[in-house]
Amino acid sequence: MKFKVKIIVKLKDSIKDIQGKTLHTVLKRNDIDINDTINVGKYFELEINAPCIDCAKNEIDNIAREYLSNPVLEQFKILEILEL
Amino acid sequence: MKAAIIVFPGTNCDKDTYKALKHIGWEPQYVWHNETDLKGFDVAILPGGFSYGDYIRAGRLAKFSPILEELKRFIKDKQGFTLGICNGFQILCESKLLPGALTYNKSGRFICEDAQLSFKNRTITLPIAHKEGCFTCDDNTLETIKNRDMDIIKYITNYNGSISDICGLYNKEFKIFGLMPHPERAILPHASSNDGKTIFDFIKEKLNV
Repeated sequence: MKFKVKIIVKLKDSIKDIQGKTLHTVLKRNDIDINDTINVGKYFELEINAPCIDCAKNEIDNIAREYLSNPVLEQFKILEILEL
Repeated sequence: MKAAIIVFPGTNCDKDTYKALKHIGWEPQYVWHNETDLKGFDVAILPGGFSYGDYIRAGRLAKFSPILEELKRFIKDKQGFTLGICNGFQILCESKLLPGALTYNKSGRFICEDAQLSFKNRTITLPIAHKEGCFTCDDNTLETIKNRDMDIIKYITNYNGSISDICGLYNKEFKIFGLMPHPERAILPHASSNDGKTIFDFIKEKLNV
């Protein structure tokens, strides 16, 4: 079976988001009325082969934890798993 | 002193390190990251640069290179000393060989300075050049670092927002040293500081060579 997966990785709330803060400064400078809670993260789309949906979930969890994020700094969320 | 300089795609301080080590009489040798053998080396060095282009995160993809498995063996067997400089320190943290992680500088800027740091009860000057050099960890990890058999190397002035002014960590038991400043850039005669030798002399002392 083949699955398409969408994952986001962003900093934990306890880690200061310097990129978000910089973006906020630029937006404010351009008179955009915005709150300072900007989170900058990364978005991943990948396709994976697995014998079942649960196997796919386990493998995706492992990929997100080991390859795409660092648990000291970041959190990840699996947005969607679609069977192709 | 036989030193392996481990080179990843995107490493760019390998030649600086090689020349610096030659200058102080060591025997450096480049080791490509796909290789799997560190036998015969006294020191393994992960030099600075942008391994794998810093893709995903600084140091993230390098931890999956074949040489990292051999480096873990090198460390476990206490074969010698491991030094990670700048990106090398990031790789050591990403690989969980040292605790914590390095994230964006508090200022959000790339910092290039001659930094003063406290090392072995004296102040030395070493260049820093990084954007993700802010050492971060949770309170429990910080306590563990302080209580464990681990030395903390601190900036005199905290340039990047690191917790507890940390610019380097040294695991005494397994001889693993991670350092954001660049000792190899403070060795050759043209450098603004020659304090880099202090770090390499420290390594030599720890190996009793």
